[in-house]
Amino acid sequence: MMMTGHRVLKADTFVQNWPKWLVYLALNFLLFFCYVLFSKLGEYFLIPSGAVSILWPSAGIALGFVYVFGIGVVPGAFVACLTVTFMRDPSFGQLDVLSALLTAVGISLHVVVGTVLIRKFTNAEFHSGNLRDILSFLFWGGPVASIVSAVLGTLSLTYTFEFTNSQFWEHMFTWWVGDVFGVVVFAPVTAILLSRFRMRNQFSWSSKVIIILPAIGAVLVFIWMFGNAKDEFSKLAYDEYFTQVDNMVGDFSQVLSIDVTLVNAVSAFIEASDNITSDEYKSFTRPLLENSIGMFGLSWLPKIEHNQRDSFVRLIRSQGYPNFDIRARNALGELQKSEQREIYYPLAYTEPYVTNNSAHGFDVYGQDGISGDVRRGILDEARKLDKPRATSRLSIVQRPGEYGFIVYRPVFKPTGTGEQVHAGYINGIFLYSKLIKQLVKKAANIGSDLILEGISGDGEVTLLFDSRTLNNKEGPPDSYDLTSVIHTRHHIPVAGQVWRLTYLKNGELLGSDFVRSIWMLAGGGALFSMLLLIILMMITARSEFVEKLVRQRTSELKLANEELEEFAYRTSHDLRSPIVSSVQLLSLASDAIASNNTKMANHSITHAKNSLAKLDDLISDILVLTQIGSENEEEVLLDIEVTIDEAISKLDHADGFERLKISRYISLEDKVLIKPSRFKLILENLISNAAKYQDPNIENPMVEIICYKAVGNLYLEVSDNGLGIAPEYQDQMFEMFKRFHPKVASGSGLGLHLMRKSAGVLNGNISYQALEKGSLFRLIVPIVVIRGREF
Amino acid sequence: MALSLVMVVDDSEADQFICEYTLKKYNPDIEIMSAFDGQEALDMLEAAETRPQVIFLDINMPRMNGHEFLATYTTLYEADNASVVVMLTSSDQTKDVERSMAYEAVMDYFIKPLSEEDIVSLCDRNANLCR
Repeated sequence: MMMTGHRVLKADTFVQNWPKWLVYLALNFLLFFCYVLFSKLGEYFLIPSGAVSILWPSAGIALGFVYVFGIGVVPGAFVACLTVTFMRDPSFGQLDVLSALLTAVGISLHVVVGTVLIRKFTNAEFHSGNLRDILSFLFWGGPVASIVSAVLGTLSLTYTFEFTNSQFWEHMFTWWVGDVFGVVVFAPVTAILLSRFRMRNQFSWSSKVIIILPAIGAVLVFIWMFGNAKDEFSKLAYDEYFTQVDNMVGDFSQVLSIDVTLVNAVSAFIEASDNITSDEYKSFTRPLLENSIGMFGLSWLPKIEHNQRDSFVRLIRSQGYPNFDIRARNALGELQKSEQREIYYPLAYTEPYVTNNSAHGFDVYGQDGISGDVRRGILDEARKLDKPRATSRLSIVQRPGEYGFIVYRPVFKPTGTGEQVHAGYINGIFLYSKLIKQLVKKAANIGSDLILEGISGDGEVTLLFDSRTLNNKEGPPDSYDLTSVIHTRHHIPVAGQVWRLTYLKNGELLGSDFVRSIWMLAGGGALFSMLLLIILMMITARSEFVEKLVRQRTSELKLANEELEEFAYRTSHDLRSPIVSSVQLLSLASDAIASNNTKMANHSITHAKNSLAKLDDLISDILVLTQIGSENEEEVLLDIEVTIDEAISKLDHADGFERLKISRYISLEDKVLIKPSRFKLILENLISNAAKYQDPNIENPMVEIICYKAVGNLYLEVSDNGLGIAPEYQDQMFEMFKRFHPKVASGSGLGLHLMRKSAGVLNGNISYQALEKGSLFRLIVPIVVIRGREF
Repeated sequence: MALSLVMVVDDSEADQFICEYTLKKYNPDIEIMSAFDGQEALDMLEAAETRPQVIFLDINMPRMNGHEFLATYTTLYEADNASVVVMLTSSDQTKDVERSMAYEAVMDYFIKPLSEEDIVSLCDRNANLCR
C-alpha cells in the first residue's frame, strides 16, 4: 500500500534495534493510550444537548498517528474507540456491541481515508511549510474524511436510539462538525510532534519547539476559555432561569395575597352590614370574583344556633331558594339534611351560585368523618386568631374529583355593649387547577413543569398539584426524586399554610442561543488554533528553508573556493612549468647551435615546441572552463545524429583515429532541445578520449556511440575497448588536473572535469562504468517537455 | 665525483631531457633512471638491483604525485639511507616546500630548471653523497 513502505523505515530509525512488530505494537499502544486520554478531554467539550463529543479530539490524534506511521497503527485507534465507547456505556448488550463496532469502523476508516487523500493531494509533508500542503492536510483530513466517521457513527447510534429524521441529520452534522474541530486542532500538532520519527523534511528541535509550544499553548488556552465560557454561560443561564422563576413566584404570591384580601373584604362587608340579602351579597361579591384568580367561590357562613335554625332556613328559602336546608355529609360523603347540632355554619349565600349550588346549605362545622375534623380545626383556629386561615388539601364538594382548599375568615360583629361577637365565616373556595393555571402556562413558556405541595407543621408533604400528570394529581413516586433534574424551590405562606412551589426544567437549561454561542466559541477557538499553527509552521519552515539555503550556499561557495585555490595553484604550476622548460630548452638549443651540435639543438627545439603546444592546449581548456560557469547559453533544437557525425568528422584527422573503428547507433526521431556547445564539448571529448587512450596492444580498437531516449531522459553512451581507468583512481577521475595515463597521451587533465561541469550545466549527469575491457561513459540529460510534446 | 646513479621522476619529457642534459654535463658517465610518475618510480625502485643515490622528484604528476610518492616511499624505505630525495619542481609555493621538507629523506628543494650549480651545491653540502 502506498502509505506503508517507506514509513516502516522511519519508525525503525527511532528504535533501530527493535523488531518491526515490536515497534508497531509499541506505537499501537501509544495511540491507544493517547486516544483514551484525549477522550476524557472530549467529555470536557460536551456541548448541550449532549452531543457526542468524546471522540472528537481523539479523532485528530488518530489521524496524526496514521498520517505519520501509516495504516499499521489503525488497530490501536480501532480498539481504543471500542474501549472508550464501552467505558461510557458498559452494558454489553448485543446492539451496544454492534453500535460500538460500527463507530470504531467509522473512526478507523476516517483516518485511513483521510491519510490516503492527504497523501494523494500533497507533494511533501504538510509541515514543510507549503501553505497549499498545510491546507490540503486540514481539508482532506478534516471536512472531507470526517464525513465517513460522522455517517457511520450516527448510523451506529440508530441501533440504540430512535431518531426522528431531522434528529438523525442534526446528529450527523454535529458529529461531523465535532470531528472537523478535533482534526483541525489536534491532528497537525500530533503529526508535528511525531515527525521526529521521520527522516524526510524533519524540523530541527528548536523549530519544533517554536511550533509546538505556542500551538499547545493555544490549544490549552482554547480549552480553558471554552470551559470557562461554558461554565459562565451555564451560570448565566441558571441566573436567568432563577430570576424568571423568582419573578413568577413573586407574582403568584401577590395573586394569593389579593385572593386572601378579597376574602377579608367580604368579611368586612358582612361586619359592617345588617341583615344582608342574597342579592346584596351577590352584587358585592360578583366584581370581587371577577377580579380574582383561582377563586372558585365566595360564601357567607353565618353562625346559626339550633334554636335559630328554622327561622334561618325560612329566611333563605324566602329569597328564592325553596329547597334550601342545612345539610351535612353522611358516611358515604353524600349531602343530606343535617342532624341536629348546637351550632351550624351553613353556606347561606354562595357566589357564583351556579357553580356552588351543590354545596348550598352545607354545614362546614359538621362532623362527617371525611374532612370535618380538618375543617373544624381550621375554623376554630381562624376564629381564635381572628385571621384568615387556609385548609390543607380538600376534595371540593362542588367539584368532585378535584382538589382545592378553602380560606376561612371569621366575622365578628359588635354587640350593643361594644363587644365583638363571632358571627360566622367567609370562605373563599379555591381549586388548585384554576389558581395555578396561569402559572403553569408561564412555566411552560420557560420550559418548566410545576409541582405545588403543602407542607404541614410537622413537615409532612402533601401534593397539591403536579403539572406533569394528566389529572394533576400524584405521579409515580420516582418522579419526585429530583436529584438529576434542574429545579428550584420556593416556600410560600398562604393564610397559615406553607406551600412549596417547585419548578422543574424540562431538558437542557442552555437555550439555543447559548448553545450557538458555545459552538461559535468552539469554532472560533479551533480556527484560531489552526491559523496560529499554520502561521507558525510557515514562518518556521521558511526560516528553516532559508537556513538550509544559507548552509547549502555556504558549502557550495566553500567548495567553489577550494576548487578555485586548487585551480590557481595548478595553473600557476602548469602554466609556468612549460615556459620555464622551454626557456631552458631554447638556451640549450642556442648553446648547441654555437657548438655546431645540430642534433642536440633539434632535440631541444622539439621538446620546447611540444611543451609550448601542451601549454596552448591547457590555455584553451582553461578558457573553456572559465566560460562554463556562465550558463546563459540558449537551448536550441539540435539534431543529435548530425551533431555526432560532425563531431566524428571533425576529429577524424587527429592522432589515433586511423586505427579506430567508430560505430554509432542512434534511435532518436525528433530533435532535442539542448545547449549545443555543452553537448558538443562532452561528445567531442568522449570521442577524442576514446582515440587518445586506445590500447596500442590490441588489433581492433573501437568506439561505440549509442544515443537514445528513455523515461524523459536523453542517454548518450560512449564505450571503447581502450585502456580504461584503474579502479583506485575512479573516484577522482572527474576532478581537475587528474591524468591517469601520463605516457600514452598528453592531456591537460581538465577534459573529464570539463565534461562533468558541462553535464551539470545541462542539468544532467555523466558517469563512468569500467568494462571488462575498456570504458563506458554515460551522459544522462533530462529532456524538457513543452505542451505535451517532448523535445 | 661519485654521483653515478640517480633517478629522475617527472612526467614532462622536456624536463626529463633537461635533467639528463644537465646531469650528463656534470658527469658524462652518470646513469639515469627515468620515471614518469610516482607509481612508476616505486615500481622501478622495487625492481632495481642498485638503489639510486639521489631521487630528483617532481610534485605535479599524474597517477601518483610527488607528495603521494613520498608518503609511500617513506614507509617502504625509511630504515635504509640508500637514497636521498631532492625535490625538483616548478612550484615555489610554501605549502609544497613545507610539506616536502617535512620528510627526513628529503634533502633539498630545487626550483626548475635543474642547473649544474644546483648539483654542485648539493654535492658541496653533502660531501659523503658525491664522494
